[in-house]
Amino acid sequence: MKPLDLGTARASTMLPAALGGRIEPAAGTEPLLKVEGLSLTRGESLILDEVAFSLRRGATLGLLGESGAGKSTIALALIGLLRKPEVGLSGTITLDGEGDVVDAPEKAWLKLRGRRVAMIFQDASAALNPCFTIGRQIMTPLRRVLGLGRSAARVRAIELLESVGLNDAPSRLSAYPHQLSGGMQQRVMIAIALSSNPDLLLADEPTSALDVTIQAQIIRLILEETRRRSASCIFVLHDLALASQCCDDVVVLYGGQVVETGPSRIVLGAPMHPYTQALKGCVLEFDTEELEPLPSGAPSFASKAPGCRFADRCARALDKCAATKPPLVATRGRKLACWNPLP
Amino acid sequence: MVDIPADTGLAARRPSRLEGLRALARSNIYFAIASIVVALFILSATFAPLVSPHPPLDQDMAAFMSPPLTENHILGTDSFGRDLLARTIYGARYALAIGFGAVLIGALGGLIVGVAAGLSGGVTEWALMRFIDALLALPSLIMAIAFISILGQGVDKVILAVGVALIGPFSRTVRADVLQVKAQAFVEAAGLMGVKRLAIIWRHILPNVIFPLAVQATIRVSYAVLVSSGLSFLGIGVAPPTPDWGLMIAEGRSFVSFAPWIAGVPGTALAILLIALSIVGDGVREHFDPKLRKQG
Amino acid sequence: MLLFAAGKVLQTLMVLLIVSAVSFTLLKLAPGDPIQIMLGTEYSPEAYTSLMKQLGLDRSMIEQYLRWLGSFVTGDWGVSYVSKAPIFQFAVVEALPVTLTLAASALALSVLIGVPLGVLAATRRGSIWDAATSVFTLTGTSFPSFYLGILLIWLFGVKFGLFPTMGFVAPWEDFWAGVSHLTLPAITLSIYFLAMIVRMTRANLIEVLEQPYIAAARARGEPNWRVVWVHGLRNILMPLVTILGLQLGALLQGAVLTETVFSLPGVGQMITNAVLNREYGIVQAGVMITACLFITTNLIVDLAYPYLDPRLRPR
Repeated sequence: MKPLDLGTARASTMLPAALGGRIEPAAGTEPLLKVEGLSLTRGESLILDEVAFSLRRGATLGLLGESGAGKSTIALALIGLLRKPEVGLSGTITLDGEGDVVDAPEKAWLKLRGRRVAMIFQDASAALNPCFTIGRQIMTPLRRVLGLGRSAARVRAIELLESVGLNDAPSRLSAYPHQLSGGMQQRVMIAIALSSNPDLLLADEPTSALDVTIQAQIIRLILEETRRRSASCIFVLHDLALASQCCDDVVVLYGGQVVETGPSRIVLGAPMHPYTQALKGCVLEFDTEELEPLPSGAPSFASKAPGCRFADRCARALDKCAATKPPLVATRGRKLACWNPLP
Repeated sequence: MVDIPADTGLAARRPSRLEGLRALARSNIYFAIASIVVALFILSATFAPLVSPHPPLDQDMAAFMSPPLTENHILGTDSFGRDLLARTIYGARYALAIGFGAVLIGALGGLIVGVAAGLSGGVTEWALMRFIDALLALPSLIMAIAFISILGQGVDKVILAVGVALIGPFSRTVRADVLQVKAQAFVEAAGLMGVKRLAIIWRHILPNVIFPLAVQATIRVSYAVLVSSGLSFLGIGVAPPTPDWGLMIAEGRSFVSFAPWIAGVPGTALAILLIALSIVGDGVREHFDPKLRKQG
Repeated sequence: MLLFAAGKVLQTLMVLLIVSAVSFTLLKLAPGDPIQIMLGTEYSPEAYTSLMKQLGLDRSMIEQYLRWLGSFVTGDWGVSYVSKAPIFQFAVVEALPVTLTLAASALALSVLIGVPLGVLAATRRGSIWDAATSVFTLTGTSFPSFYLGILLIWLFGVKFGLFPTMGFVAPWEDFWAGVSHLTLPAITLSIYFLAMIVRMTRANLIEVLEQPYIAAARARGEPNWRVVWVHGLRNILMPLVTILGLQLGALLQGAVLTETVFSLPGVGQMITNAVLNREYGIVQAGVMITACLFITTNLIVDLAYPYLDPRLRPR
């Protein structure tokens, strides 16, 4: 696949350590994040069905899937922003050093959000409060979370803005969000998110609202900054090519179920689940002669429906697929949930 | 969506507007109750002579200022011995007549001014807009007071005064609707096809403006009733001894310490009618407004 | 920015001119011959013509209008037939402060109580609070204010004897007496506004709280109270102020009725008595005062918009 030009940020990790690539964390360290059996019900629907994956420190993970597959929901669950009375969340989300945070009270989450866990949103223009200046939106967390005084916060804010590539930072502080371009707004979001040096950064489709030319810059910025702080990053994406470029590991979701997960070069390089293969077949490249679109349809989120949710669109479906849900098993360097995987 | 060929006659029928209202009544219990209440008021107002136990101006001096539940006078009597139930029923007549009459005048005037403002351009439009602004600069009650000062008192004068005071608000909504319709492609197409301007107005713009105007008029009836009762309460609306609720409340005010029902009965009737009309108005507006935006 | 403000002011002046023209026409349309009324028993054809010349009523309409406008702007509003006192004096100096005090108190009451109630209803949707608020909103916006005033008089004035039921005492002369005399009238006048503010605050806040920037603020660790009261409220300021501006007319209207119920000597009562006494000069003065108040406050609201919503500021 033709890689996006992400510059040096990503390329170095493709190289073995001896040639300057990044050092993989030592085996045996606890993963930063472990999600097990995460299920979410809203009324009669089962939005997430036993989602499970784990994330090492300093690694990048991609949550890959179509719109409505539940990726953003997982991200919101990881920062505790799902509205509890309306949804039923079960399973465990273990954050290293905090234990299981699935049922954590709001008070506990207030200590985590914006400090250990941060999030950047898809549409930066909508995610910045239009009535407050950029300066105020950056400095408020600096003062609340880091306890900086006003002038110290201002200095730090300028540093942060410059580090994300915004020139003329002092005048940006007194600007309003609508006065900045989309790319600049997203950089501001990134600056705010990283200001407290979080352990985990959640990026919900951070470039979907941006021009293609800006996308690469923003992705590179995110990867550089997280690597610099040894933070882990979870990308929510629907772009397979992007996932293969910037994520160490990938979790492929369909209809709220994990269908395949593992290191991205294994899962996306040699997919075993029919859905992952189909996704790959949809990617346009310069030499693509024929596209192989998926048959039309949408997953059903009915909680009573057993079995694999991809069954009705799957070319390789067996009878048992719709009847019983395949378990997630380790096979050939990845985890796979399929009764009839690709050979 | 599967396309049904037109000749099969099975093409979906768009539910008529009345059916929509019936569905609304079924789904929203408050709307249903309110509509029934309004209907009751309208019925008793129309058939007042049949429903009322006494003629409204009849004085029974032997029983003056009797409280409710006195024999012969279920809701009591006022300081002139007139039966309050009778006067309240007839009061509904006046309230509704004035309300609907005023709204009619206001809607008509608003239609003319609004269409003129919406269709003209340049300086005329700007001048008409400022004229509408001027009309809107005065609250309806105060404008009605100003007109009453010229016209004098009386039921017909009240209808006229309140009606003219309503022209401002109506013309603003009509103008907005006209602008919206004007922007539709089919109007432009008609113009391009050489259809005469007057014909465009008559055949295309007016029908699309009349319906939202009718919806607005329904909503504004309660406001007209409120303003006209206010005028009568102030003593510059209808003339005594007309059984108008506002007038009755004013008359009862002096006796509130020892005969509160004299003001209480008409006041409660007025409050109930206004609240019921509001609920109906809200329901109508919610039901038709989003559809209007989509259809228009 | 200055150009924008200047344009608005110009527009406002234009509207004021039109109102003055309409008002003048009203005066001319009034039945009765002012000259005859003024002469009263001293009528004679010579006295009539000389008074007519004196008052300038023999000139053309346009000229009369301009002369009237000139004297109006300089504060010469004529004299009452009945009391012979200058109209400007008792309209602006005596009656207007009463009305303004009443209106301001009612407005303050409705905002201070209404906004928190609206926030409560928005953040506790589906609760008893929310349901009670909906009921209150509905009845509050349609309940006849003059009847409400009488109910309050009956309840608090007569039954419980807590508050005085009529008359006005200026709070700047005697604070507590002033406040107690203002209590029932201010409550009566504020109910409509209260209901309107609660409804608007609730509706707008619900919409604002759905926005991504609210989720983003939470994701930054802002506690819920800050998200609602700082981020949320700031973003509903503009629609709220818009509604208030639009409803100002209702406030003035309600003031007229409330003044009559509680016998407060404000502009409302002044106009009503003027109509009964056929004092058209006073009616006209009242109309002009009301219109000026309304138009000026709308102008202020219009000019405030760019401050409330940064997106409206010129680049």
